[in-house]
Amino acid sequence: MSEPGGAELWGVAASPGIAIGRVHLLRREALAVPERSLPVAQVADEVERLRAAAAHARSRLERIHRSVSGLELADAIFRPQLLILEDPQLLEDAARHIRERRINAEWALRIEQDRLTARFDAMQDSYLRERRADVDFALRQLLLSLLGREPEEVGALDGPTIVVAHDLSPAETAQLDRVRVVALATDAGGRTSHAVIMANSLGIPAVVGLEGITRAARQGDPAIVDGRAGQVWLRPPASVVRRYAARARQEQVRERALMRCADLPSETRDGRAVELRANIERADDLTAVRSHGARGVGLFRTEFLFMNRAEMPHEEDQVQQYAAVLAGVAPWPAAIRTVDLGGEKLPLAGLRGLEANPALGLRGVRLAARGGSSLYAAQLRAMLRASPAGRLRILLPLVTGVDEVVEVRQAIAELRGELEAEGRPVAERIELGVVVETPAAVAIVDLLAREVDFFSIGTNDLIQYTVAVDRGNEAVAYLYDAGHPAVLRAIRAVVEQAHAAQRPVGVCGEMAGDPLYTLLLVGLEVDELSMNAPAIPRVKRIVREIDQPEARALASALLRLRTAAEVGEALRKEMRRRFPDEFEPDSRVP
Amino acid sequence: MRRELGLHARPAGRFVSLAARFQSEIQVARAGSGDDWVSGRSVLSLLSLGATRGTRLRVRAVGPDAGEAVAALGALIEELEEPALGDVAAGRERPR
Repeated sequence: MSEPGGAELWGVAASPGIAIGRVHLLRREALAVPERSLPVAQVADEVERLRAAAAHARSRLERIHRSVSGLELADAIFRPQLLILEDPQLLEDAARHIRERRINAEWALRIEQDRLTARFDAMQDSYLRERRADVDFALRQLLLSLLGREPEEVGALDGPTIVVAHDLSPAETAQLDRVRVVALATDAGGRTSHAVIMANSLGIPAVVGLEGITRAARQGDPAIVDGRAGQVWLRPPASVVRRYAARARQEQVRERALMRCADLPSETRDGRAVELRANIERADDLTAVRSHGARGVGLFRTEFLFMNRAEMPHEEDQVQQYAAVLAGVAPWPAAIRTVDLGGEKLPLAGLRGLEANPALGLRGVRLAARGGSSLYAAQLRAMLRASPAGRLRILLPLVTGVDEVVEVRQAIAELRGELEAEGRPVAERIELGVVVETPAAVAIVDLLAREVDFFSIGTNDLIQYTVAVDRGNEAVAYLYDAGHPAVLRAIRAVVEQAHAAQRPVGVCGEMAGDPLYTLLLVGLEVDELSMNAPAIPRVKRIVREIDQPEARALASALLRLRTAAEVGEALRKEMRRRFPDEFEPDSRVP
Repeated sequence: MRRELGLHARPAGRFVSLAARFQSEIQVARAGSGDDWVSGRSVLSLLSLGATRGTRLRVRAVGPDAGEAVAALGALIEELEEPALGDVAAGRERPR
């Protein structure tokens, strides 16, 4: 029973999953703004009417906010709206238009909105540009109040519902029936829209940037949303519905299977172990670490302990945090990275504004030698005190020379002596490692290997420093690519030199948690991968389905390619061939 | 501006509420934008500066507590922390 006139639309995949349901179309009509000139005598009343409407809009929005305050992210969605409606400048400027031009409040507001819209549209940064939606929604609330109208209602839903809208306002987002809404699809783009934040938090699929779906969809249409591919089917033929229903069931089964394999060993079919560990930022993250089957912590970023505070964290606080992590993952190791303060990450008080190029400035392990040595010593001391709780690995960031490691090694030895003299226990064996994230470290791994017990390749920074690209700079971000031959050669060189000295090598950047690179990294003989815990099941499943010799052959083949683009294409093709369920075909080609 | 996601509504709101504690008239501009000063008491005006990471902002104040105001607000801009979960979708999805 295929329905005539079905349509297939492609947009931006914003939240994964497959949903089948009926369309609930939210149409927000454009508000007609009356334009009137006022006699002088009415001007004061008109300004007063504007103020009253603003107060009304605010209290109405606050009421909706309270009604959903239990909802995670409600604050994120409503706070900006309320801040805008409370803006004194907005009312002053609009009131000025009323007085000077003797026009009605709606018109004055529209003039302000046009001015703001022009400023936002001219912004370079896509994230800030998209914040225009906050302004539009807030001003719309104000306009509705002026016109004496109620905000739009979502209305009652029946059965599994796919909400289709131009964009979702905060009020609409908050009103969504969280049981019946199974997917969101919007005309407007932007991965940072309210719709996307909502879909991510509810764990339902969403596709945005569908341009024209509100025109193509009809109320009650059967529809399918494929949030991973970024595709929406309207009025699909029965055969397509069956296909997607089967896929949705498969996905469910796969998710469950992935979680079940959380406890299975992480090794290739031919028995080579690849340790999968977790990256964490605080001891609270340990629950997720365990439930996703991580064997230890490959990277504990400690900056969080030092952020948002005027003074150094107390030694006892640090000891407690480190001991909790060490004990929480024992008998597996936990690698605690000494604080990577400085640089663009977290400027130290005394350095603020002084460094022209903080990414290349006083940060990472360099602080141990200059300026930050007392902070550094205090952190190392806390780590040593926590060491009896488990298997401590100390990880040094931004190392570029052997002397830096030697210096820290000496500091550790001195601190050990000091603590033992105080009668405090320190673990017999503490491993020291470096984050390989600079071309300098790559080039001297053989020299560093004599001073350290292990290596961890920090691919995020290594890529940045190798291809000389600030990934936050949108103009050059396209050059930031883990598949760049220089990056792959660097990884291979590190592994070869480290293994020659019998030192294990891990990868702890985003590359480690991206299943696309699992086969390649295993082929490059990397021993450990450390990633955000939720990424572990997918990566483990791939590890368990490959053979080491095959992976090695693939890695050599990829290393012979000439460009990042060639590597990316060949890798995607190979991974799709081997794991068709994990890697969708290119979603942009209908 | 060191905050990765720039000066959007929430940090702008923090700026405005701190500015409200001073009696001085407070204004903000992008460095190098000439005399395009906007009110430091207006979230919308601050948003419309379009300040992203790396943008240099200037703060000026006129009034009895001008010195303190400029020092406090300047420090706030430098200290604005990275977003919490609310801004998530945004933070994680920056183009690579």
